[in-house]
Amino acid sequence: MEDSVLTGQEHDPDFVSQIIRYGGHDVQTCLQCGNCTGVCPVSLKTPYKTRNLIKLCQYGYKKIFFSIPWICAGCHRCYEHCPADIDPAEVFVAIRHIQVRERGVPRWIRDNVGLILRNGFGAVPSDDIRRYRERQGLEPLPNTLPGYRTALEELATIFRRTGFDRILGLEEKK
Amino acid sequence: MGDRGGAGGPRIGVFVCHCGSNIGGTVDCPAVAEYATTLENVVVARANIYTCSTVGQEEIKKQIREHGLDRIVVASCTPRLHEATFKRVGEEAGLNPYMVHMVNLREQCSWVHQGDKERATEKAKELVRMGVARARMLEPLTAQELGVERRVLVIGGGIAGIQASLDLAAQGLEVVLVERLPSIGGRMAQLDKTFPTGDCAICVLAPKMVEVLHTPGIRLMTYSEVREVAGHAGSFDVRIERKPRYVDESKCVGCGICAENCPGGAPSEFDMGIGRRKAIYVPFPQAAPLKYTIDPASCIHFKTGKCGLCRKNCPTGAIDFEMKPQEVRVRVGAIIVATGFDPYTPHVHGYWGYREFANVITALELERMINASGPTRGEVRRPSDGAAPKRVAFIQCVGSRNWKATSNKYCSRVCCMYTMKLAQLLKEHYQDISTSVYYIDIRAFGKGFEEFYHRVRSMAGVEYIRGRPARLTEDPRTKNITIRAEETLLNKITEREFDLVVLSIGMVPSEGTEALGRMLGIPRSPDGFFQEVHPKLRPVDTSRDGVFICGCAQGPKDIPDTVAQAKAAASSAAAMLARGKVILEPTTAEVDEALCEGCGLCASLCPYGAPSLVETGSGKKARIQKALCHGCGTCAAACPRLAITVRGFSDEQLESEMAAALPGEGEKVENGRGVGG
Repeated sequence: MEDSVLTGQEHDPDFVSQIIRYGGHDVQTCLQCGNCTGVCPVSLKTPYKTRNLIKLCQYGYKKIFFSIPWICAGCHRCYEHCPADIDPAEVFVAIRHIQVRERGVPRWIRDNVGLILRNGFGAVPSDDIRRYRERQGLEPLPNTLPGYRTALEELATIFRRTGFDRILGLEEKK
Repeated sequence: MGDRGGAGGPRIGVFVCHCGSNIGGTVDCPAVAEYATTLENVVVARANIYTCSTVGQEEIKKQIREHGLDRIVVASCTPRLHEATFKRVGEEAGLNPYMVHMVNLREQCSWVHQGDKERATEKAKELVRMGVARARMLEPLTAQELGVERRVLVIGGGIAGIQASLDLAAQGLEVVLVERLPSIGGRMAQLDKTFPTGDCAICVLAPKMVEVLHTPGIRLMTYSEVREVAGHAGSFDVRIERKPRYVDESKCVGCGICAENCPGGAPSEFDMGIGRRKAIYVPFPQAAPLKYTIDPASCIHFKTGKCGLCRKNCPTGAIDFEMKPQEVRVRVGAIIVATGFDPYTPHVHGYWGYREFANVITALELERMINASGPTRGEVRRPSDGAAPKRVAFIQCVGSRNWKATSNKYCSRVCCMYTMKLAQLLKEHYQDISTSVYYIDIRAFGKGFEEFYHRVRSMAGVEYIRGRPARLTEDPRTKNITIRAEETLLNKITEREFDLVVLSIGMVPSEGTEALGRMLGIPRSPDGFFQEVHPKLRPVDTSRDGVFICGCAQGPKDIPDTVAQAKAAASSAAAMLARGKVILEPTTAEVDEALCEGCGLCASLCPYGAPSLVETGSGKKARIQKALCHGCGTCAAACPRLAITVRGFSDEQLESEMAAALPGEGEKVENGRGVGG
């Protein structure tokens, strides 16, 4: 995917056992049949094919994953169909764990969680919607979580108590 | 080494084997032999490089004669490998063969303690000490010989059972061949051609079926089932039920006038339900014997009491609605199980729309359609509209190689090859047809198989797509099937439309395998097929002496392998019967009737059905049928009254061995005071 010739330098012999350690299935028994790809809603719309990603795990191509595993929607349809009884979705969760441990949380996730803490939403209404709401005489934001400041505070408490804010690197900002 | 035998005591020789470096690399064998000489009653001890070699055997004989040994301990490998060897050596030197004891220094010592020479050597010494203690208590035993019935029961009349029967008969043995269905022939009879040679299946099978009918030594019982098996190797008592055909076999000439006039009918089992048969039928034209059978479930006479057209029309008066099941008892010396397989049924687990979409069929259904004597006279037709398909897809590994709990993990071994054959046949029948094979791996390992694969791949209009289909959808109007699958070699998801989809189904154990296994007392492997004793060296033997397995009863396999196994099973059974006797190991359980209270615990626990309770003058007592006893000791261990002893494994023998294992007692032995007695 990156280099046209793989030299073995990119091969991390520990990757498979690391995936298992972080709760993923043993990917080494994957038959590479491609059934997972065919049932995967993400594979249908992106260049990422589930089977191919599992092959990259088998190969120990760890560094390639530090941008990929977050695309999995976690629907587990791959697992339902897998004849080797592997759950690729779990494998991607394990790889996310590994990534957070080793490289920290990706910036876009941290930003997203920051939005949730501020607004109660991961996505903020666009300017168009804001104007539309204004024309209709509504609040600038839908009146769900932002309407209940105590709920937002509780959310912040949960993040703090579970250490989630520390993992995300949010606490220093405050 | 002095003569430590003592006057009148046992005279023991100890032989410690290096087994090359297998034992010698970890255990200091000369030191163990040296130690053995310090044990009481040990007259001589030697270490050898290979005790099982001719040189090693001669050495044992020499020492037995020179020192007047009356028992020996061989400390080497597992008794499973060489106990028979050393018993024979002892016997040739004048010992009772049961005065030979083996100590396992390989599997139980050197192999498991590699890297710790010192402690391994200490353990070896202790094992030898225990063995010597046991040897002191050995008693001569005599094996019993029993005569055999020179007759073999073959269960299953497919190609495996047919071949085994013919081979046995050719050796002058009597055969009772029992087939559950109205005709022999089995699954092979359903096939059109055979891979990789393209032989017509029935053309090569039918002559063998006819030969079965005309071989005087073979007693064929079709439409019959084995109900009960008792006895032991050399003499099994078998109860067979002959199901009523409602047609007198001795009168039926197979003219078929009955079927022509029969108004009843049902889907044909032989044609996988595609065509229909009459209520009175032969399953296929080459059926052997060519005798008609009435299926009461579809017969109007059996349902309403009316009709009876077959009886009216039969020119020989063979129809007999009053026929009852018959019981036949035979005594045989050996049994060959050739019960074959059933095709995997994909609808059970909702595989790819089978039985949901009309144009998804199984390979066996296609096999029947493409067969000239099949329900469509050799024309391949879409079930939805009877049109000839132009685009056919095969899906491989259906019901095979699936590690989900509800499926089969194993490879069924024939689907890759029969798909190639069917692709070739389709191409031969229809020039304009295209075939796409969805596969995970192609397995073409047999003789001529890879060459066949090469030939099929080179054919125009045959393509191989490496990917397991993810989804099949049916066009509600055309009933065409669209397959979505990743072409893994392209890293692309493909969606292709087909007129007909064929599921390349695998094999499962035939119906009744479990029950038959229980009846015969033979185990099955985790895949559900019958278990052979050793996958390489005893492929057709079962753990029950005198019972052999062959063909797909043992596991999925193709026709060449099935025939080879059938011949092997016939040969093994014949070899056993040719000796004219079976030898019963004397290491069996014995009941002391004075102690037995007749509780029956032994009978309920024995895995071989050897003990039974008999009424005696002094109440119920357990008796062991020696021929059934394997000497496992379950009964002896369980008996609350300690009334049961397994010869060669008496309490005294085992206790002396255990006592020698205990450190305190061991020291006493080293000091020459001994623990035995």
